[in-house]
Amino acid sequence: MRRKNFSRVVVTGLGAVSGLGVGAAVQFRQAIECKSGIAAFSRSTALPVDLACASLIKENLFYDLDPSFLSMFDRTAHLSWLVASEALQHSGIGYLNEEDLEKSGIYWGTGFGGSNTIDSAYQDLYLNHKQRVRPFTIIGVMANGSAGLLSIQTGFKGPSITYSTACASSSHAVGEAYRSIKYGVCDRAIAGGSESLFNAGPIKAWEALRTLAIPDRDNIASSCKPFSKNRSGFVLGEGAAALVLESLESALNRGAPILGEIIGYGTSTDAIHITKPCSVGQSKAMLSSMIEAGINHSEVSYINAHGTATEVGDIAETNSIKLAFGLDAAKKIAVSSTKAIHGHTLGAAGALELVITLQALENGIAPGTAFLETADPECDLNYLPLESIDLNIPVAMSNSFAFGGSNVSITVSKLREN
Amino acid sequence: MSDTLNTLFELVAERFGKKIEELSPETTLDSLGIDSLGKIELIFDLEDHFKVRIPNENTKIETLAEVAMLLDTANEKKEL
Repeated sequence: MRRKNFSRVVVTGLGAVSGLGVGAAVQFRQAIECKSGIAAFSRSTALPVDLACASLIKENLFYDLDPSFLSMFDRTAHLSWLVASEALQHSGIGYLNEEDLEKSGIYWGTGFGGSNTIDSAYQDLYLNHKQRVRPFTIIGVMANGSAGLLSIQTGFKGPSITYSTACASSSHAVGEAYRSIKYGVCDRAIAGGSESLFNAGPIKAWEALRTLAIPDRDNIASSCKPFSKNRSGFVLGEGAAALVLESLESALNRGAPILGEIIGYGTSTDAIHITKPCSVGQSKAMLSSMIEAGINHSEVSYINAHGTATEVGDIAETNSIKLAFGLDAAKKIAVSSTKAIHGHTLGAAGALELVITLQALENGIAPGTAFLETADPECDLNYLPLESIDLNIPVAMSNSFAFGGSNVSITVSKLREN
Repeated sequence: MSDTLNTLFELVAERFGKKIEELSPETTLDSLGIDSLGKIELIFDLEDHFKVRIPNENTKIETLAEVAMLLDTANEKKEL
């Protein structure tokens, strides 16, 4: 099949919530100001935890849904609906006929799924010594609860698929949505991911893995320091993000605002180690994304890095960017990690960072890497320390590299002429 | 009207945002927007409140009077 038979895929709506605030625009505003949403962890848990800091959603959220219906679902799904409805509103998608709905898909990602619900069930059984759990426990726990809720609310009847690839979950979801439109399965899709796991069990599990940041006692908001010499790990974050993807034809037909175009989706697997990142595998994801996009290495002017601020992760990504782009081109690219301010939102991370990346492209501002005062000599790319820069960004990339060795790179551009 | 029914009205009114005057023994669960899943959740809460257990096969109920009867029957069995 010749390329011209494929549909071009554009983004027409964004939605997001995280420790930075509520709404896609807020994420970008905070990102370009390098303003952190990380704070001392204060949420109550069933058992004492040692978690010092986190990037939690601080606002009381309003979902505009019947409370008894909402109560069937986990907070993870609630956040999904919040951001999906924002993205749909942003896109201006209105009435869709039955044929349109059949060609409308939902592609969602989550790492842990309904963590709050399973934790609550375990509390009932193990702490409160009840003999049974609430009837809707299964609905709350199941990873595709979010996709189910979104489909009921939107009436979208095309594919609804949930991806759980740890920290790459929502990147896979966006990428697969892109493919489904490109190859004609869908005309439009809601894609993104959600994560909310601030319960005793998951927190203790993360603590045990020893990948979390040591809190910065002078300024707890600055505890996550990607690419810094004194980085100590990542800070867990809560959040969700959604994008409305459409075929270019669908968007043009209805005169929709076009926020950017997805032009490449590269995936690879390390197949070496369950947690340790591999530069070669990561570089293959970036290369395959650029090949699909049909671009030269020199065309990418901004990368939103995975940049978790772990010792090995940041060095591996530095090397993988050099491998993928070549040393000269790699040094010229503006690269930053916004995890410094919104923390690591795991299954939501890829979509949240792509929402920020698309706004960087649209506004011509590359967000800086907050709290990067002294760079690690082994992290020697242009990591935009402390400040954002004005930058014309025709093409940008967003990386997500997950435990399990799953790598995703998504390439986006401004709407191109052909 | 039985004590069970009165208590049931209070619980349902609070849970579904209704006034007690709007409820009667003939009020159907459907009219309160309670579907099959909602019935399971409602019975779960009523079992906890009344400290009874309703067997699964007895969940084909339509009205509040039938719910109250189910609770009374379960209570009688408990006391035997």
